[in-house]
Amino acid sequence: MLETVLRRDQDFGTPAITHHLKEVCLQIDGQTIQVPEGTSIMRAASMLGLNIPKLCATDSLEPFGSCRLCLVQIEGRRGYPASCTTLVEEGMVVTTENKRLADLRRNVMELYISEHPLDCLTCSANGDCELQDTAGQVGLRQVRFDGYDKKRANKTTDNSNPYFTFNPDLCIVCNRCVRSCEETQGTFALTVDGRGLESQISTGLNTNFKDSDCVSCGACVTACPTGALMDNSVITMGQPNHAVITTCAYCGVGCGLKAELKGEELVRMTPWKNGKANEGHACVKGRFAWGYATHPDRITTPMIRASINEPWRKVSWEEAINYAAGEIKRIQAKYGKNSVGAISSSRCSNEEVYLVQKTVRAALGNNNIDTCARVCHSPTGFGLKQTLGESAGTQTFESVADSDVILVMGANPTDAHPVFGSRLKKRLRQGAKLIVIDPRTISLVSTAHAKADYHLPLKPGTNVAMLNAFAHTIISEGLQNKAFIAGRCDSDTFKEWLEFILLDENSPESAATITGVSAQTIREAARLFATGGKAAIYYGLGVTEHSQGSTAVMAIANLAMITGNIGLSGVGVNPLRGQNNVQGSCDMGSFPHEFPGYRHVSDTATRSLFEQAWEVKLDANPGLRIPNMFNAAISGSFKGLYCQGEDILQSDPNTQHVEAALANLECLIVQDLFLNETAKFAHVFLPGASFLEKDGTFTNAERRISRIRKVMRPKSGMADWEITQALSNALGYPMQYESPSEIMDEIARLTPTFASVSYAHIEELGGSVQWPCNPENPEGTPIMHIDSFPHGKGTFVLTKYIPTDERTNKRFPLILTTGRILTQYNVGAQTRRTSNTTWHQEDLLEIHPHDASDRGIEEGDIVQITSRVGQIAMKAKVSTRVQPGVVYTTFHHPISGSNVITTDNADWATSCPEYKVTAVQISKVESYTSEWQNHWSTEDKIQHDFLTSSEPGAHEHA
Amino acid sequence: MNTHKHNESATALPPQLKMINQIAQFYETLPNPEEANKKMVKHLVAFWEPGMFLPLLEYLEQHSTAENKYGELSPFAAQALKLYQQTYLAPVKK
Repeated sequence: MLETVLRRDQDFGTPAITHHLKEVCLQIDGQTIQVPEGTSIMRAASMLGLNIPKLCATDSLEPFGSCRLCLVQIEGRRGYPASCTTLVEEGMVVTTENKRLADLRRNVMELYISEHPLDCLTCSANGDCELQDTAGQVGLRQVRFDGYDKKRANKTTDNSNPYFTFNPDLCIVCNRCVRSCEETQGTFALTVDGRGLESQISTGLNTNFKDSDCVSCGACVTACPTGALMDNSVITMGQPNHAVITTCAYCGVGCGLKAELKGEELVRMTPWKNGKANEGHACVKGRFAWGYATHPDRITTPMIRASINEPWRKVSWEEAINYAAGEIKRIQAKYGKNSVGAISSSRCSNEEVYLVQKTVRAALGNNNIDTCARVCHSPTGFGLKQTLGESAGTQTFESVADSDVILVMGANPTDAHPVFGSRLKKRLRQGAKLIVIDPRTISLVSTAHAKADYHLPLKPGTNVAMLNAFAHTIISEGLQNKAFIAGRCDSDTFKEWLEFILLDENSPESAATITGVSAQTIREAARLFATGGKAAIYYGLGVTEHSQGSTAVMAIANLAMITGNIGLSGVGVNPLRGQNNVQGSCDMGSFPHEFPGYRHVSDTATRSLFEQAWEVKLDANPGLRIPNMFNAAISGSFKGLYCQGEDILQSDPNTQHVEAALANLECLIVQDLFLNETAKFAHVFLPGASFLEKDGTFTNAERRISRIRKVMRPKSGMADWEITQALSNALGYPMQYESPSEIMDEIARLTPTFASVSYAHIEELGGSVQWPCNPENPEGTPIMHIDSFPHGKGTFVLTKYIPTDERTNKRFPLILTTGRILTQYNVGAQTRRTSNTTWHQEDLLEIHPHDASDRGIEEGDIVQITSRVGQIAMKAKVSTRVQPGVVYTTFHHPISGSNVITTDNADWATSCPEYKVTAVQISKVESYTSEWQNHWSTEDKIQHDFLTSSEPGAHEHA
Repeated sequence: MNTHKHNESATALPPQLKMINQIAQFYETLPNPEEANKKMVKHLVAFWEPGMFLPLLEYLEQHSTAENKYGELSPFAAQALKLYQQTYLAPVKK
């Protein structure tokens, strides 16, 4: 590899050995090395810096042994074994280079090149082609055979995927793509069709990449050693010449990504091998859907306006910030200190959300700060704190590789946390058992080479009944882990809970009537969970977004405790947190009742600590949560809101209620990349920066703090933390941070769980660290609660099933539940502005064939969806993924108005909205017109006109 | 702006009423009612902005008669509100 293009990371040839019992000592080319048992000769040689020529081997995949280039000679053995498939043995003596091996390799390479076009100089892989490198390594000089034309017949380039091209001409059939689709991704979308010179990589009979099962994760593109599978951006732009490691800004897996650049222009994002969350894998969003950062819709100039019925005025940063601060001060003077607040973004960095909550507390003088965790995992925060003593998941993602039984509840990891989904599927292929509790038949229930052992399709809203039935079975059949309960759990709360759980109302027989799943199935699944070995629970918003969300989380913790599934690899309670930094946002105290580190605002010791550090008096009372802010806005006591990177009008439930609230605000400040739904009601627009334009850290669902690094200057001129800092200064509370690193240092000084965290330390530890990271745990904490819980013993909480208020009846006989799909992300602000729209241009209503035929609905018909709260229209998709009585849709496109029909029912403890249960009626209509959607289209046009007609503001002062 | 009429009129129930009834439903399931009452008040004080109590205290006052005992407020919720009043507000109400 030359220095003019980006150097590849070292490829050791075969995977690293993770669990080994002993080490083996051997000699390669006269050098001695000691390696774990199970390592291949190729890998051992690579560790010595001896790069044995190879083509079909790569260290993300198990060895294949087809290219026959990596041959070596072993003393005392006949023949020339392949070093990739041959494991090391004690005392082995290996030669990797001699005349015989060189001749053999040259002959093999000659055969490869005889079928390959010789136009290296203009090929897109030039500069990053392993075939080119290996041909150079073996010293190929002449090619005596001509197989190329024969190969060219009947092979067409596949351009169907918007992000990469498959050119079969350049394919050497090394099978790396097929193997990566199997081993790394687990989708099994590729195979080899035909034999000999006719061999071709195929996506299935009569399909192309787009039509097939391919999920566009890009693993095959990364694995491909030639230009056969190549990123379109490299074809157009050429090879990147430098790279920066950063972290993905989409979901809570937080994949380590390598931003490969030419100057400040991103050529492509590749998965970072040393990213501990993803280990070299990514999904369609992180890998390819980064184009939104340079999309024309990006707003790069601050704007203000006195009323939402006026066009925007483009102004300078100074004017915009001063106007915003002036308005906030005016509103506080008129309506009181508590009449303003902020919402921090779960997409912005830890340092940035820390500054927003600091601004609210120190500059605004109240605790009216909240974040989007309110609408997704706030029940996790509450429930796990009550039971396990800490508001976070207990494991690493890697831990699933040690699980024997995996329980997935209310989550769809293959779609929403794809890279974790791939890890999960890998473990299932190795024999782990799977229990899925979900009203829908998600992909995991039956996927290539893995099937759920139990699928419990319960009625939406009955989670707690199901979980209680599991616990009842385990206790009544004596399957609990008595040692764990006695040693690690509080005996008083356990006794109380024991009496409760054994009540008849919690038996599987009672649960069967409530959930619609047979008692026998519930019992069998519960038995499997308790006796199948190491059991891990993974859950998502299908657990939390319910009126009993917190109760369900506590029931999950109860289950983990009675079966002793805490404190080791392979077990645990794993909330699949949605956003790239929602964990971080919560850790940083973006809560009306908690300072950074989950310490209550009423706690005098903590409050004094912050008062001293921040040199200001702080409010000891809890502030308003987002739903409370809306209610207060409607009743007239809440008048100003600083909303950073959150589109509440599209993502929060009961859209018309949110609209009414926003319309009542006197000053709404929106800080975002694009003019989103919320911005249509804004008076100040502060253009934010994408994750590519700033430094900072994100914390993923594993509590893993990873770096994001600036690869291009902020398009608007300011990073988000600089904007918040400017606002705080204008409000009268001085802040003078010079870098995000300084902010993290302050966080570390004030937060015990972060005490040893710093950018330097993160570097030292290899790029990321899992909190708690402090003097007691200097290298971070992969697995939590190993010896004890933070508050000592685990607490049991009574979890009685209380049905939701949202009932079906004759008028609204079906239940609507909502969710996400793979290619679009949440409100779609980012993904709708990339080529991911190829796969998902609109939200669809999934309806079961029985319910559809009852209503005369066919695939593709437009249907009206009515709830007690509102009405919208969408296209129908008839599918058996849902069960009769349940319908499903997504919320990625604002025009769908999915939240117009969701209600204000919410979790009792945290006010997390009950998105997953809305009683609806569906009927066929002729066209899309629903009153709300007409209204949306009209207002959307008006607001976009205000944007395009914005004038630069005339201002007299500099 | 097309804003649908929500229950915003003066005679409408405050949104906190539904919230407190729901919280009461959870605490009602605990075995010891007196302890549960205290725990509920602790929960309210930990999570509710102080201003949120006012409409409910007003409602409680208006509805504590023999005929419509607590109105739409559940009895358990009403008890919690009373305990809250005694513990956190009584000293101020001289």
